[in-house]
Amino acid sequence: MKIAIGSDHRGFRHKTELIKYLSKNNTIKDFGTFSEESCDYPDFAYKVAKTVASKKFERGILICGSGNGICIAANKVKGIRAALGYSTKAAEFSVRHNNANIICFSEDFPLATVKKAVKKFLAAKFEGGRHLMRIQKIKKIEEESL
Amino acid sequence: MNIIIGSDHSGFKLKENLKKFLQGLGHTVFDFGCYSEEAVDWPDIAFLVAEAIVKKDYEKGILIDGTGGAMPLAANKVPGIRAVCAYNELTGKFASEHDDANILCLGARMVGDLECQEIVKVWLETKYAGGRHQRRLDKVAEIEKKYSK
Repeated sequence: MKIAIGSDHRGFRHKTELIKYLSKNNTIKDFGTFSEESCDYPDFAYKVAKTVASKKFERGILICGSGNGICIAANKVKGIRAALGYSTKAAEFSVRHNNANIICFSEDFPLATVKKAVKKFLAAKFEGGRHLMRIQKIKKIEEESL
Repeated sequence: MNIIIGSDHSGFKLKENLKKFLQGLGHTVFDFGCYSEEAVDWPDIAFLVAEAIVKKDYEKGILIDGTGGAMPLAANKVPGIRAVCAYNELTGKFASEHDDANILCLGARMVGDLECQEIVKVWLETKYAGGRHQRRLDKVAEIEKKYSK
């Protein structure tokens, strides 16, 4: 799978570990940040969100301190459905029910949990049906106002 | 404080519980639905609440679904909304302190009722820290501008 990954300075360590973890079976591109020097999460959220929205990459992964700032910023981009993977179940259902194309993590989540959650996120398939109707309502709003 | 609350069917029971809890704390709570456990589409409720918050008719909003993951997808599409999924007290605190979240999202099937009460309480009590966080939220607003018609 083609995956885009990005983080702010707080998420840099998990990003580095996830790239190692995922690169065996996936094509993964690192959109920065590239050090632990303080930076602003919206810059990296936007880069990853834009490339996922353009369908150059199938899925995106974003990491910041809480996972939430980067998640707000990514969802501002048209075509993005970014969810917080605060547990393996939350990560799995973000795809099964909400067709999430970006998963967000907190650097404070244990790395083992993040690895499990990311695996679930990548393996999960959107179930469609009644869930598709709901996703289409978001698309409609995006088309009308964004 | 004037607070709006909304949920899909999976969050209906928690919404009823939180409504009473917030009223007990002295807040005025406005219920934007849903009004039973019959299936509804969460984006409908998310946009209702998000648009009311942006118009500044109400100060803060709470949105509940099964995991807390769906509502932010929809609510954050509305310019001016910062919707955060919180799953414990610390994330509730950071939602206010770092992200100035005007909507808090909760997962009724993932987090217990009592825990949700504590999350909501700390989110309402915590003040936004500003400073470096404001620089980042300004950048979020810039992204919004790029996508607003």
